[in-house]
This record gives sequence, structure tokens and C-alpha cells, in this order.
Amino acid sequence: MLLTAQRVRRFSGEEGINAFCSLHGPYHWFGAPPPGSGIPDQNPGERVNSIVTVPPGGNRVRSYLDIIAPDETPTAEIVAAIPQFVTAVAQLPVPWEATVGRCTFRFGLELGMQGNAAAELQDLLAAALQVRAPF
Amino acid sequence: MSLVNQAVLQEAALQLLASSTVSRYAREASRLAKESGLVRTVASDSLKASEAVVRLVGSLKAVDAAVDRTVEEFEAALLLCALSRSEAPEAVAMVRGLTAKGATTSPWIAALAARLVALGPVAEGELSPIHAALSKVLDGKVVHVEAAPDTEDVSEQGAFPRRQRAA
Repeated sequence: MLLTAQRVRRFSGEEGINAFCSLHGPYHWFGAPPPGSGIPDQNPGERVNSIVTVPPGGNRVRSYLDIIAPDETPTAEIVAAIPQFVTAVAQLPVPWEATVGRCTFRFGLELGMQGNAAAELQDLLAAALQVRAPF
Repeated sequence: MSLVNQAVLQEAALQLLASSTVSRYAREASRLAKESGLVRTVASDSLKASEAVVRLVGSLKAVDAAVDRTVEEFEAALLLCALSRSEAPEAVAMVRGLTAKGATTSPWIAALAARLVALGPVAEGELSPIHAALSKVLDGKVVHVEAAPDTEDVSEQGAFPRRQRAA
């Protein structure tokens, strides 16, 4: 499963967060996705749900949060892994990437948003977990 | 006109009776709810969502009154899957209500409801403690951005939702 939330800006200045949920089927793994699976970049899965606030296509991505986990991962498990992810990467330069249990997180944001990482991560997280769909 | 037609119910009966695990049961029920258009119908129309809730309550009464597994169980499974994708408050309450102990005598329906809730979106208020935890670690902190996302998003049909921007 790939849950993605990204803050995008159009040329016109319109800005918002779009979020997508894609599923991969009954694959199980622990830790990061198996290297041969291509998940998520080469194999982003089947898109089953989206929340679109700005029409997608050609917009600048200002920040993003990817959550990669097996489809069967309970939402509560993902939620519980987030503080551990942030604690593990907080001292590192962005973009952040880390795996907690079977959940892999990737977070990036553009220059100019450095002082606002907490709020940005919260907004993206809310969108990513709101777009989740069980099938 | 019924929300779930006879042909879909027949297929559901076959597939759900043949399921020996909750995982397969849920997969088949969701597939049929989706492929029959029930998910789309219920998710896009709040009146249909209300109708589905009423119908589900009726089906569950029949399920709970029956000694053996009945066709109403299969109808309930499909309606439950469809309602789990609806944002209508009564649909959300219905699906979550079925995860309570004793809400139904059908172990299949109870397990399906639990699964749909566990693998669904976060409930309102569920993120508050996480937000507090994030604030504790990150508030006031200026993170060092080593590489900004030099990417643009792709259209909804695009596979991965963003790509590197052209130089």
C-alpha cells in the first residue's frame, strides 16, 4: 500500500493538499518493502481512493509524505509508528526516510518551509490517513 | 429496486460460502461490492447510503434470527463493504457499531466489520495524540533541508503521483 499526501501549488498560486491511496494486494513483508518488488516507485499499486483539492498534473510539489506498508497493516499500527519515525530522523537533514516495523515513511519539503516542519507533517499525515481505503 | 441484485447475490453466496478465511471473505465481498457498482452508488449519494443502512439493519435482523447462514448474510456483507467507503455519518456509525461485542451473532459479519474499520481511514480525534507527540519533537525546530523535492505532480491517471521536474 502506498499512501501519499503532497502539498502542491499551481502556477496561478492556488495551493492545497492532494492525497492518494494505492493498494498492492496480498503481499506481506516486514521492514522495508522487498527490493525486487519495486514498491512503491516502480510499482505504485492500484489507486483505489483519492482526495483532490487542486487538480493534479504539472503542479509544483512543495512537500510530500509517503507511507508504504503492506495492505493488511491496521491504520492504528501506522499511527503508532509515526512518533518513532519522527524521533529517529529529527536530527537528520530533510528529506527523511525511515522504516518502523513494516511501515516506511518518506517526508520532504522545500526550502522556506524548514521552520514549519511539525505543522506540515501533521497536515500531510491527516490527509494521508484520511484517504486510506480498505479496498 | 433493491440495492443488490439477484445475480450479484448469487455470486456473493458462492464466493462467501467458499471462503474459509476472513481475509478471503473480505476480499470477495469488497470485490463484488465494487464491481457491481454498489460502492459507487452508496458513496456518491447520501440517500442511497441511508437506504443501505436501513437495508443492512433489516438483513442483520434476519441473520441474527437464523440458525444457519442465510442469503441475508451475503447481502449484509456487500452493504457493509459499500458503507465502509461512504463518508455519511450514519454509514460510519453503522460500520463502527458493528465492531462492538455482541452487535451481531454472525462471526463473519463481525470480523468483516472489524477488518474494514482497522484498514480504513482514521477516525476523528484519533490523530490528536500523534499531533501532540510530533509537536513535542519538532515544534520550534528549524529542520535542515538538504534536497528540496524538485518534483511536479502527475495527472490522476499517472502511476506514481509525482515525478522529477524537467531541467
